[in-house]
Amino acid sequence: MIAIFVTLRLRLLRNVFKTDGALAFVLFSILALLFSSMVTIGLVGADRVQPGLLPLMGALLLIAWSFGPLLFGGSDETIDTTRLALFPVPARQLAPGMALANLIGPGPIAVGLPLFAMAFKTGGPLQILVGLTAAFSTVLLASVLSRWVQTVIGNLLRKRNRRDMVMLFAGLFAGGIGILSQVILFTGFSTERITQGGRVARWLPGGWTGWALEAMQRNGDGSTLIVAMGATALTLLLAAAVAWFWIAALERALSEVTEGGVDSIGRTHFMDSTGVAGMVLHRLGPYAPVLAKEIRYLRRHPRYRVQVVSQFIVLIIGGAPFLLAILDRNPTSVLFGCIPALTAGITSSNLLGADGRALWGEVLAIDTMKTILRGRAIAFFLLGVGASTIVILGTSIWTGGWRFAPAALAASIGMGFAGSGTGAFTSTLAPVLLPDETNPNPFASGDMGQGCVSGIFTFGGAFVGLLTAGPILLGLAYARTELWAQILMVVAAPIYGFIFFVVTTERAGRRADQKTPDLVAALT
Amino acid sequence: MTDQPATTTPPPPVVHSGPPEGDAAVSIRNLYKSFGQKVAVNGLTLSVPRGTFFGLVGPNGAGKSTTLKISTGLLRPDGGDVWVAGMDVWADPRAVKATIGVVPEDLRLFERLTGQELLEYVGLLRGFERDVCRHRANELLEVMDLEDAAGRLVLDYSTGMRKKIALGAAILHRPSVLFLDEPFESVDPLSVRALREILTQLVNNGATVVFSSHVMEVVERLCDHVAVVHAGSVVASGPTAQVCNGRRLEDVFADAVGHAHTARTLDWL
Repeated sequence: MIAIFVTLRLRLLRNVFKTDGALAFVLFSILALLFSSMVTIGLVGADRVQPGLLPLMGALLLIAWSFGPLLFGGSDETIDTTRLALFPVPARQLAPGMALANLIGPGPIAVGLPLFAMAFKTGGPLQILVGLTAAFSTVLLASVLSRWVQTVIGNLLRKRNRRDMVMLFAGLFAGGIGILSQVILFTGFSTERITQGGRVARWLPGGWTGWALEAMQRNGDGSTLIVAMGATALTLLLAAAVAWFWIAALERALSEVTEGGVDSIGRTHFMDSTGVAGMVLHRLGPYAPVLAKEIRYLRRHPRYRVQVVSQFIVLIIGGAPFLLAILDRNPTSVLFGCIPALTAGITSSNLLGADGRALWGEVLAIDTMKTILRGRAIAFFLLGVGASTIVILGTSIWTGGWRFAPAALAASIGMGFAGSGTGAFTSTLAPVLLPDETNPNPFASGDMGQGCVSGIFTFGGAFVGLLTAGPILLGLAYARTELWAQILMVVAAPIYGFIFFVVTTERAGRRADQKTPDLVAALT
Repeated sequence: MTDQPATTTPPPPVVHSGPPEGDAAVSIRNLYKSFGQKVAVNGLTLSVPRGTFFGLVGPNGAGKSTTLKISTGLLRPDGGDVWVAGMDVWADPRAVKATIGVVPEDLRLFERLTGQELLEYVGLLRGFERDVCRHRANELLEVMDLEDAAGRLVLDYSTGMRKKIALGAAILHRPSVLFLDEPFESVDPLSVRALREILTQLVNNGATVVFSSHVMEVVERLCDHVAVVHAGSVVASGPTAQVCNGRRLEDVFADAVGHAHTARTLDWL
C-alpha cells in the first residue's frame, strides 16, 4: 500500500503539468525551493547560528507543515476519504502510505531542507546521524500531524454549521497572526526577540528538535547527544500518538462519507422578501433578484462565507494599526470606521468567480451582464457600508467623536461605491473558476491552482481598488484636523464614489456582455 | 423541493437479527435514516433477488440515494439492517466493499490521473497484481470506447466519459453486486447504450445490478425487477411485469407516489 500511495502521489504531481494550474504550481515550487535554499545557505554559511533560531525554526516547521496544506486546497487527492471510502482497505493500512506520500513534493522538500542541513553542522559522524534522525522524526511528526489536521477538518467541513465554526476559528487565527505581525512591525524586531522566542519554542514539538541541534552544534559531547536522542524519542512517541488519533479519525471518515442530506444550495436563487428588506429590494428594480440571491448565498455557499471571513481578516489586519487610537479614545478614530466599506470594496474583485454554475442560471435569466455585475457589486457595497455604519456608531459612542461620524459615513459610502465598482470591472478580467459543488471539502476538490489564480486577481483587484479609493483616503487625512475637509467629504465622497460606480459598472457590463458566450461555455 | 415525510416513528436501533431467508443479493430490513429533522429513509424494507437487474425509482428526495449509500457502507443507518451478498453491511463494511462495485451519483474520482492510470490504481487499491490491473484496464477502455482518451486526465472528460470510467472502476474487480446511483443522468444516448450493454453482460454473467434512476423508459426496458420508493419507504416492489401489470412504469410510478393524471395546468402559460 505504501508503494501504491507513493507512485500515486508522484503521478498526481506529474499530471499537474497537464492542467491549467501547471504555471501556478511551477511558480510556487520555484519560490518555495528558492526561499528554502536561501535560508539553508544562510544558516550553513553562518559562523554561529543565532541562539534560539533553530528551536523557533523547528516549531514553525511543524506549524507550517500541519496547517500549510489547508491553504492549498485540492492539491492532494491522496488524502481524500470520499475517494478512498469505496475500497475495502482499513485505515491502518492506508495511513503509512498516506503519511509517506505527504513527504513527496516541492513543498515538503522546501520545508524540511533547512532542518536536515542543520544536522550536518553538528560535528562528527555520530552527531550527524543523531541530528538527521532527530530531523527525520520531526518531519515524520509534521506529516502525520498534517494528515490528522486535514482529516479532522475535512470531516468538520462536511456540515454547514461545523464549516462556519471552522471558518470563524480560521478567521480569528489569521486575524491573530495579523495583529501579531503588526505588533512586531510597530515595536521593532531584534535578535534578542529570536532568543526570547527560542526559549519558548524549545519546549514545543519541533522546537525541542531545533534545541537539540543547536546544543549539538555548540557542544557535541555525550550529554548533548543524549538530549538529542531523548528529543527524537519524544518526537517519535508523539508521532505515534498523533498517528493513533489520525487512524481513528480516518476510520470514522471512511465509514461516514456523507453526513449531510440533500443540499438546498442553488435550488432557490430568488427570494420573496417582506418587511424592510422587501421594501429595499423592490426599489432596486432589476438588481433586486441578483442582490437577493447574493444575500442568500452569503449565508449558504461555502465560498461566500470564505469571502466574508476574508474581509474580516483583511479588516483586522488593516485596522490593527488604528487599534491604539481607538483604545486611547481618540475622537478622530471614528474616521477609521470607513475601513470595513473599503475592505468590502477591495475584496470584491472577482464577482463572477465565486458561485460557479449558479452564475450560468443568472446569465440565462437576466437581461444583461451589467445587471448581474451591478447587483453583485451592490451586495458588496451594502455589506461594507452596513459594517462601517456599525463601527462608526460604536467608535462614536466609545470615543464621543460624533462630529466625525457624518464624514466617516460619507467616506464609507464613497469607498464602498468606488471599491465595488472597481471590483465589477476587474471581475471581467478574471477567469471564471468553477468550485466543486458536490463536495465543499476544499481538501478534496477543486482544480489545482484555482486558489492561486483567484488570489492573484483578488490581490491585484484589491490594489486597484485601493488606488481608486485614494482621493477619499487623502480627504480623510485632512478631515482629522480640518473642518472644511469634513464638509468636503460629506458632499463629495458619495458623489465621487457613485459616479465611479456607474461608469465602471457600465464599462464592466459591456465587457462582460462581449464575454458572455465564453462565460456560458466555461460554466456549461 | 424535496419530499419530506410529515411524521415518523422513532427508528429502532441497528440490530443484527441474522441473515435473511431466501436467495437475496441485497436484503434491507426496516431501514431508518434522518438528517436533523428530515427523515430520508423511513422503515424501508426491500429484497433484491440474486442475478437480477433491479431498478429503484422514486421522486427527488424519496430516499433512493440515501438507501444506496447505506447499502454500500458509505453512510451509517439510524436503524434497521442491510445484508449484501450474504453479509451484514454494517457488521463488516470492508468485507462487503470487497465484493460490491459502486458508481455514486457524485462521481468521486482521482481527477488528476489519466483514465488508464485511474483504472490501474483502483485495481491496485483492491489488491490486484499490476499486470492484472493493466490488462483489465486496457480491456475496459476498449469496451467502453475510451481508448483514445486513455492518456487524458479524468478532469478533462465529458459527463458521459466520466460515467463510463467510473463504471469501469466499479466493475474492474468483477463485483457480485453492482450499485449505481443515477448512472444515466446527463449522459448522451450513445453512452447510455454502451453503459447498458456492459451492465447487461454483467447480469448475464451472474452478477446483480441495483440502480436508481428517474428515466422510466430505461428502467422498464432494462430491469426485470423494480421498486418504487416514496417518502423513505417502498410503495411497490416485485418483477417489473408484475408491478406494471400491462401499464407503463411511468403511470405505475405516478399512481404509487400519488400524482396520477392530476397534473395541474398553468393558466398563465
